[in-house]
Order: sequence, then structure tokens, then C-alpha cells
Amino acid sequence: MDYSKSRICGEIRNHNVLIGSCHIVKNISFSITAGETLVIMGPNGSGKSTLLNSMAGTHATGLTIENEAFEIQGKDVNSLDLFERSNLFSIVPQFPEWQSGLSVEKYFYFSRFNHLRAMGGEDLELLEEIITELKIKNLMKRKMNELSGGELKRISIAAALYQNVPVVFLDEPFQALDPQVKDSLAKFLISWQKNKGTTFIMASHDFYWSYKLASKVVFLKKGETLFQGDLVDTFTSENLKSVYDINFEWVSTANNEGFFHPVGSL
Amino acid sequence: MSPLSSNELDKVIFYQLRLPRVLLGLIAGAILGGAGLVFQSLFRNNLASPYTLGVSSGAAFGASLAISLQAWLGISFSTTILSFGFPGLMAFLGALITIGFIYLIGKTKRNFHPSVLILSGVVASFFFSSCIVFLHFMNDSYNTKKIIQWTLGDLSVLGFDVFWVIIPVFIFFTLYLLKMSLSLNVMAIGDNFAISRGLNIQRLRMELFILISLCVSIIISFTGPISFVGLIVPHIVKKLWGVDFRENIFPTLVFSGVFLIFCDFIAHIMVPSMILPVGVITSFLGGPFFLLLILKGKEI
Repeated sequence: MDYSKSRICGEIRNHNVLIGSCHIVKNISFSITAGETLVIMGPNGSGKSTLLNSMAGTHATGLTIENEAFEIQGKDVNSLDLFERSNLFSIVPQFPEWQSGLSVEKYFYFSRFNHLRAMGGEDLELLEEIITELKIKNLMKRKMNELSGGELKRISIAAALYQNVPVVFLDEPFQALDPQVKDSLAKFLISWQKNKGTTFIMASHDFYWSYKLASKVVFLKKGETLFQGDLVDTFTSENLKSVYDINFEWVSTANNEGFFHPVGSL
Repeated sequence: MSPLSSNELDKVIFYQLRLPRVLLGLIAGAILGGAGLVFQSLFRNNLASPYTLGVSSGAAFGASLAISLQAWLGISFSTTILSFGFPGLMAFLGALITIGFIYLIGKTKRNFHPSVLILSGVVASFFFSSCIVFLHFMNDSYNTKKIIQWTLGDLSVLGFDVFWVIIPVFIFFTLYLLKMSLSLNVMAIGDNFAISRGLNIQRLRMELFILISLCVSIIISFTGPISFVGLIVPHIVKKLWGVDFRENIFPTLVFSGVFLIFCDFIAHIMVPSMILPVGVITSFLGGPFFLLLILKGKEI
């Protein structure tokens, strides 16, 4: 991986999320590098979704968020209002939201709310590019309640990209997609990142695609960081075993490549 | 003083009774329908109405207390402010108290989350309803009937004084709704979506609940809480014009007004030589309407 082009464009330091006095996420710190993908991994309940939502501001009300620093592109995110934040980052939730009776076309239009408010507007060229690459052009006239889970998921990701922001949080984007769709999605994310320089911060359980996309990894367990760092150094079978409490094996594929896969105990 | 000729009498009836009544019906219907449309989206519940937050109970209690006081103290506060009599002003006060109560709870608990607003509305409704029933018992049958009649909702109006208040409220209401249509659309998709696109949904919910409740309160302080308009018409309009607020607000306002004056027309002719309160007819139509929706299998 060529790091000469990468720039640190932000960081988060000692980020905590609490319910009352109980920590759900404790002392998470990492730097955000422009144009790269950081993957957050960990078992169910380790706090991945909470971490992402608390950074994006879409967390449940009643949670307390504290951190020492949270900066993106030199701006202190904690002091920004929602509108300013919406120009800096977006989030694709784990379970897409939808409105019955709303057409996909209009969903994309409303997705540009931060631009529409600021006297900007639609970017039809960009939209065309996104829906063609993600193969969702045929869904534009459909109503959201008529879509399958996978279609809804792809549209939800597309809408966040259409918002055209420097940082995008993705909560389990590969979940519930078939292998072919996962492949196109991964290819699309990679080419998008190369062209636009968007930073992806992604929570995922998908060991194959996370390994392909990420340049940095953070392993969470019970709300705290167990391991973090560059992909090759951190993504090892020992670390994976400590995090997930299950054995992992390296599976070789063509071209000296491969991936890690959990090995069941049956 | 010489008696009016038949021609002059017709003019008086038309200009002082009929015309203002129709205008009031159109405006009151429009505000109730528009409020219902917005609240159904705000609460993510198609059974929501302008009265979900209990302002109708607060207003009804205010009016009932006023009628009771007039009976017990033997006074008749016949002075009116722009056609709002003592019951009307007390009704508005009751509605304001309800709005204040919901605001306080919404502010302290989960920041105006819809479920908190609805539950506080239920509390207010139950409390004021039981107070009203208490007043029923404390009054003789004549005044109890007056109280019940007020809570049914009535479009009776004499002259145009009330429009000094009602027309500005209507203009504000319409312009406000049209201005918020984009934000309403964004919020309707989902909380996560709205926040990530930069819409402050807590502030929007608070603003919507207060401003719309105020407009509704002003109307029902004069007419009494007319039921079902704010529930039925938004349903029909959404089925025909869709869920996009940029396209369904205007039809809602128009058809809610038309629906109300249509109900008032039936209220005039249903029982000979008697004008029923319009709220009786709107309730009559409400039940069968829902039955139709259920039988046709369309999702509510």
C-alpha cells in the first residue's frame, strides 16, 4: 500500500460513550487518514455501532458522549452544529431507513438536504454515475416499500455517497448482500475512494472484504480497543482469535493473495 | 324601528350568517386537516390527529369551566373580544396550559421524542377529561348540555369580527407549512437519515408541535374541538397525492375545508328546523370511513 499519498486529516482521542455512569465505549482513539478505509471490527455488542453513531451524531438520546478531541479537516467536530457536520460526514446505518410510498428518486433528492439548504442543489451527473456503477438505475421510479433488503441497502449507501462528503461512516455495509453484489459494492467503493478521496470508516463482520478494503483496523471488545494499527500488522490470526474467541485460518487464493476465515468447532 | 324588508333580511342572513360561516368552515377545516397531516408524520402514526397532544381536552375543560362559572356565579360575561366569548378565552387558556405542560415534559425527557409527546398528550387528555366529567356532575342538566354542546364543535358565527384573528392565523399556518415542506419530507424518512443530512429533528419537532398546536388551539377555542377532519382528510389526500409534502399540503388544506363545510351543510339539513353542531356529522362520517379503509384492506 502506498502511504506517500496519505494524509492525516483528523483524529479522535479518548472517545467515551456512557449510559448514566456505565461505559459502552471506552477510550477509543485513532487517527483519520484522508482517502483511506479504516475498519472497526469486533464481536456483537462490542460497541461498533455505538461508536459510529456517536461520532456521526445519530446516537440514541440519553447517551453521554465525551472525548478529549474529535477533529476532521482541522475543525473541532464537537463544536459544529448539525448543518456543518452534514457537510463533513454522513453515515449509512446498519438497518436502512425508508418511507412507505416514497419513490427512490425523491429519496435521493432529499438526501441532498444539506446542499439544498445552502442554495446548492442536486448534482445529477454525480447521481447518474452512482446509480449506474451500483446498478440501481432501474430502481429509481420504484417506491421504497417495494424494494428488497439488498436493494434498500445499496440505495442507502448510494444516498450517503450522493451527499458528497469527505468522510462516510458505514455500519456493516456488506451485511445481507449476496456475493456478487458485495463484489460490485467493494469495487465501487475502491474506485470512488480513488477518484474522490473519500475516507471510509466502516464497521464490518466481513473478513474477506474488510481485508481487501482496509488500510487500518481497530479491533473492539466490550467497548474497548484490543488491537489497532496498520492492516497487515494487526490483522493476524492470533489477534483475531483474542478478539472473537474462535480459531481463524488463513485461506490462500490465487496471486499470492488470501483472507482469514473463522474455523468452527464442530 | 321598522322591520326589515324580505330583501334586506336575505342580505343580512347571507352576509352576516352564511358567508362568514362558510369562510370559517373552510379555514377551520384547512387548519385542522393540515395539522393532522403534519402530526401523522411527526408521530409516525397514521392515527394521529391535531388532538393527539390533548389540546382539545385542555380547551374543552377551559370552556366547560367558564360555562360552569357563569352558571354558579350567576353572571353572564357577555362581553366578547373579537367574537371570542368567556368560554372561548378560557378554552384558549386551557389549551395553552396543555401546550406548556407538554413542552416542559418534552424538554426534560428525551428531547421531544414523539413517544414522549404522545404519552404526555395522553396524560393531559385523561386528566382534563375527568375534570370535565366532574363538571358535568356539578352542573344542572341545562348547563351540562351547554358544556357537551361546546365540546362537539360548531361553526356558528355572527359577522366578521372573528376573522381579524382567524385570517392572520390561517395565512401564517399555510405559509409556515409550505416553508417546512422540505424539512418535513426529510424527517419523514427517518431520524438517522434526517440527522446525517443536517436536519435538527428535535428542534423541528418542538417547533412544529408548538406552532401548530397554537394555531389549532385558536381555532378550536372559537369553534370547539371538531373531530375527525384532521384524521380523515389527510388519509385520503395521501392516498391520492402521495407522501411528498411539497405536493400534498395544498390539497389537504383545500379538501379539509371543503369537507368541513360539506359536513356543515348536512348538519343543516339532517334534522328539520334544527342546525346540528358540525362535530356530530364529522363523527358520524368518521366511523364508516375507517370501516371502509379496513374492509378495502389498505394499510392504515
